[in-house]
Amino acid sequence: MKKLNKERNRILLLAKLLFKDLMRRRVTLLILFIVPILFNVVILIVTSEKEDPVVFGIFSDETVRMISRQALSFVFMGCAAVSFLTSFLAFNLVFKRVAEDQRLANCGYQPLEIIAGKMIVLMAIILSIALYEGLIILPFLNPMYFSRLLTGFFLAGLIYSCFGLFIGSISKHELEGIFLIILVANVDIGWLQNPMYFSESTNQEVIKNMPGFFPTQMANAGAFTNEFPLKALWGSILYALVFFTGAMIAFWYRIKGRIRGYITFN
Amino acid sequence: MINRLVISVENVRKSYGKKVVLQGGKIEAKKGELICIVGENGSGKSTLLKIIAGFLKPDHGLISRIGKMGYCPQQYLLYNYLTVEEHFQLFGAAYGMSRTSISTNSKELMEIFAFEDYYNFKIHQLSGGTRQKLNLSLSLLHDPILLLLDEPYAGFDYETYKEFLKYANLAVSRGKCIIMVSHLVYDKHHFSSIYKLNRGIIHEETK
Repeated sequence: MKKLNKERNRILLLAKLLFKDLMRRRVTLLILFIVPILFNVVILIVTSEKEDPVVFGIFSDETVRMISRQALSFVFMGCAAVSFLTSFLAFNLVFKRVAEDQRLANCGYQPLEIIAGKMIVLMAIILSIALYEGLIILPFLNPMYFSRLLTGFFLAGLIYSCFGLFIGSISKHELEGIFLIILVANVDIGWLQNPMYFSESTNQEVIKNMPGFFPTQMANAGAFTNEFPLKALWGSILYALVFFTGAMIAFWYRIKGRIRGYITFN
Repeated sequence: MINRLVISVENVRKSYGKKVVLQGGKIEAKKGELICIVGENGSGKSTLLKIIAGFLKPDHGLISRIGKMGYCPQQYLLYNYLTVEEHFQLFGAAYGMSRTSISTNSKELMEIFAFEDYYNFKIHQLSGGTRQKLNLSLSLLHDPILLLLDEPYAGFDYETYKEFLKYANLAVSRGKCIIMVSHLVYDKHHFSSIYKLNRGIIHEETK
């Protein structure tokens, strides 16, 4: 029990200091707060309020709902903004600090303690961005369940931050990692998960199996329906777990895997 | 007791692709010894130290050591937006030290290397020399028996260099073992042994 408490305190201290290190960078803070506003300004400028027929893929009844394009865009872009920001932040938290993390591991931190510390920091940031994103669209959108809309944003951030951790742990060069994140996030949550696109898609099964499907559906269902898509919650958690497990394995190997034990003598 | 072996490095080989960096030789270091490994730029000194410290896996060879180890890398591996105090907290936790020992040891090290005025400064506000002092202090914080120092006084002014040598001699007299690499070695009389890396092979030099 004492050992567990000690480990918990070490992880919490690491998380606290990593959080401080991130939050003291003014540019990071500025980007976190400005990007969601920019996305919403673009929606206000270019999207009409015309209603479109929309099908939510998470529900089996395939009911067609008439929803305003602008309202749909706020929810869809909210998921995209949270996903983009958290995936890049997670990538940065791992990729840019490999040498420092190796030093910490060499001094006694376990690689899994380090990645757990990073995940705590990310959780705090995902929660804040999801809440912030939800609050700034409130003047323009009247969601049926605000809490479910926020849950959708949070899950999108959770999946994509785990994805960012994974890519940060396997990338050898910064550019390839950034391109991979842009490619996947853009195609998935920045394009195919748009409900207007989904409803007209010729192959919805492909879209349903992408990581952004479940959180976007959770956010949309929360904003525009009375139903709670439990499947979206479990699907999101499963995706996050798969990426996080991959990230933990890759991170452990990167930090400690090349190091072999020594023969000691007394 | 004072002459017990702390580390032994035998026949270490390492290549990066086709480029052979290390191809054998032997180093043995005992308690109370200050050892210097010299070689030209790119001769593989840092690679050798990284292998000894556990940052790199050798292709071949045997490394044996005992006790707590401290490693000071050539690059400052520090967090730009954390303060000096926060670095001591973080590394102290990594070493598994209590708050009291972190506080006592960090104060002592800051006094020795004369940077106690920067306790609350963030790393990006520090000069290169002060960062190097912190970099070095973090490897000494847990009072290790074996110290591996990669170009430890690069960026030091002459006064700090003298303080460093004084500290190294004191540590050695208390039974610690220090292995440092440098491309230049000045005060040869301070060292118990000097090893030279030539074409990837480690030779012991006669002083």
